[in-house]
Amino acid sequence: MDTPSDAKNLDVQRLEAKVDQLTELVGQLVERNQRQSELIDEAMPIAKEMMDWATVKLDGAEKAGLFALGREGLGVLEAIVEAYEPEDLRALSQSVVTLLEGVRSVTQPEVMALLAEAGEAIQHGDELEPVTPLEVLKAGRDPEVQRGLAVMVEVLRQVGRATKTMHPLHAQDGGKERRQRLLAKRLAPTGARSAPSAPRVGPRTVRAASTGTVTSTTRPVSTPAAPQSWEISGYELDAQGYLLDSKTWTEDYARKMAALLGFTSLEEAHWEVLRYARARYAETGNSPNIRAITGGMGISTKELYTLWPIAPGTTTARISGLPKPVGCI
Amino acid sequence: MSTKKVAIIVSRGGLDEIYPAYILANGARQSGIEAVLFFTFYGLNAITEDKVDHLHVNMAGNAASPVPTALMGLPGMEAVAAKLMTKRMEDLDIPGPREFIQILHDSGVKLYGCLLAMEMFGIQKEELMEQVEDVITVGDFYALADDAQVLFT
Repeated sequence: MDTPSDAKNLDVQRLEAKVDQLTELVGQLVERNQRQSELIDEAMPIAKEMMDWATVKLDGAEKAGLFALGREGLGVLEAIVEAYEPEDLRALSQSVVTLLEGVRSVTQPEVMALLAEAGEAIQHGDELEPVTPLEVLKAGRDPEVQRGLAVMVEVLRQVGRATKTMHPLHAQDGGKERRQRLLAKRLAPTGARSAPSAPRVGPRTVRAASTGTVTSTTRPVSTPAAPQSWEISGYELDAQGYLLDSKTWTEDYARKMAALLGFTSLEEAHWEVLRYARARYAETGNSPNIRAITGGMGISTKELYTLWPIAPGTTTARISGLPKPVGCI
Repeated sequence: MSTKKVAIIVSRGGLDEIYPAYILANGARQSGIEAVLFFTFYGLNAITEDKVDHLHVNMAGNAASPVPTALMGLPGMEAVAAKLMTKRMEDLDIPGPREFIQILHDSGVKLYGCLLAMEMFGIQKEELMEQVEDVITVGDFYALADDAQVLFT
């Protein structure tokens, strides 16, 4: 049933709903306003401190003649402004968002607090004792200093990364060269306008070679004396006298090779070394050198040299049918 | 087998300065070549009982060093560099200075100290490691090196 009173009721209900919405909105606005004023309350002391500090420092700077320097610097600034062109401004407009993001991250309360504390440390810098290099090393052990260094390193890393990505861009548009050229023209003293602007490549200083290992060769050293020929019937050897396929090795081969190298008999101690070398090769795929044999078998270098007085490493490899050992020790 | 021999002079005592000589001498023995090591000046540190375990690496003024010379000049940096190098050598199973002297001796390398340098530094023969054969003069050295190739490091 549709009566006028019903319609009226409906209108009132709608109105009430709207008022509710508005009340809620106002509440939110009030809350936000409160939060802002809290933030201002919090930020005020920091800002005041920074202003105080800045005033003192600026006063000092004026006395030190920094502003006079700055006024001179304005001339340079003017030159820079003239050197930039509309394209550069277009590039700037593209970076505005990034720029603002940077500003936002810098103005986070934590970062501001950090800056305030760093500022305080600088302010009281004159009260600190000069630090000796040794104390710098000691300070390096302080976990806080270490963390600080880690942050610095990370910042430097980002700077490095950014530089790397920037470099190709500059190379592409040639903007840097153009700016450098213009700046050089502006800043060059009168009469030297035509000075070459290309970066000068100076001659590289060549450091005199310091004394390293000097040899006084009297006569060449040839390879160790080898038997007339590396030949053992029934086996295939390479030119240097190593068995080509270690799987074809037999004890008979060992005796024949030992005889070729001048050993009349092989004792049990010799056989132990040969067996160890073969086992090690089977395990690692590398022909063991002297250090691997002595370390692995737990015998001394001297004992190994007693068994094979001349070149024990290569001798072991030859008699045990393994390739020539690789390594310097 | 034809006689072959190297005589290597070790004149410096840095970790990085003794190893080339050691590797050469040891490699000579591995190849069946006779080897003589003659330690003089700071090289004597490498065969002095109470110094052999404390050899340093001097990276200052080293153009090949990755660390700037200005930093390497700071106190303690030599010890740090030596520690890093020792660690790396341990990882690669390269023997340390003391163990290497034993290995060289065992391999039949003859180790000698220089008489003049020992007098200069006031080192007694008893202070040298037991693996050292003798203390000799330069004349003795040339007699030993008569049939050898001489290397100076």
